[in-house]
Amino acid sequence: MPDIFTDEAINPTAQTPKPQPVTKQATAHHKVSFLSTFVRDPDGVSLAEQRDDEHILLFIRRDFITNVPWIFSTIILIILPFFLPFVFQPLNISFAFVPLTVLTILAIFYYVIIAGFVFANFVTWFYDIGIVTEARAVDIDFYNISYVSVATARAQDLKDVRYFQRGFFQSFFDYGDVSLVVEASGETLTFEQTPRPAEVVNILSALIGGHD
Amino acid sequence: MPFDPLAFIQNFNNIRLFIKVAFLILVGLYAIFTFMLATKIRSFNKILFLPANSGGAFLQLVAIIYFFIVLSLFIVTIVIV
Repeated sequence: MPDIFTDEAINPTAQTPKPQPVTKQATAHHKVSFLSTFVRDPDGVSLAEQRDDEHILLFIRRDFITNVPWIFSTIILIILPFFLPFVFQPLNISFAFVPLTVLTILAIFYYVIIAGFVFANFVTWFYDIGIVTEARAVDIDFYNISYVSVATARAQDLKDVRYFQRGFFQSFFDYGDVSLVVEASGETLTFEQTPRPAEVVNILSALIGGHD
Repeated sequence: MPFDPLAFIQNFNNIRLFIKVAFLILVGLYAIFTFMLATKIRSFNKILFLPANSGGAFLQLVAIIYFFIVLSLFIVTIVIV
């Protein structure tokens, strides 16, 4: 007769994998390059006030695609002076009275300003960094040159994490804003236009879960 | 004698002087801006340590070089224009 009810033999090797806390994950370090925007377990990155045992889980910057508008503007600005004669000739405007040295310095200054525009925009992107460690989330914002913000929230103070993808481009290129709600103050810490926001939320959720 | 702005502008030397002063103010302000940029990068590199190949030190060097380029443009404007 076939056995209907049998005790299953317990196989000691086949166990249900337990969800591992974020802090205990086996990690392979990844290198951070000049244009990196999303690096898990980054190698060689550290914060000024970082504890020795504090491991950095995630290093993020704004998605590189967000740089396209200023790169496009730069290209327009570079080629713009070459079209100026075609604009002024029909209007019979001549700059012959301006000395050549002045024109030369004006041109140099114009291109130095463009170089500055490129450099400032690149630096703004380069230092717009979000870092998630085992103990905290750090958001470094660099708007223009005049506004700098460094915000930190401890992992145990984080209440909620969510992400938003607005519009076609954010969905198409898979980037968006990740908001962290801080429990005590109710304030939000936002990693803006971060690549792979769902993955970032996953990592942060595991971090919040690990501290509950 | 009353000041005549038209006569002032029509004089070639006055135009040169006007351009020079305007230019010096512009370049001077721009030099301050680039100095601020270099300072900000320096302070950021003290908050956050990035690996050597990731460009933190390189950007600081570029900012300093850029500042000196703008400064030399200021000096060139004083001397040449």
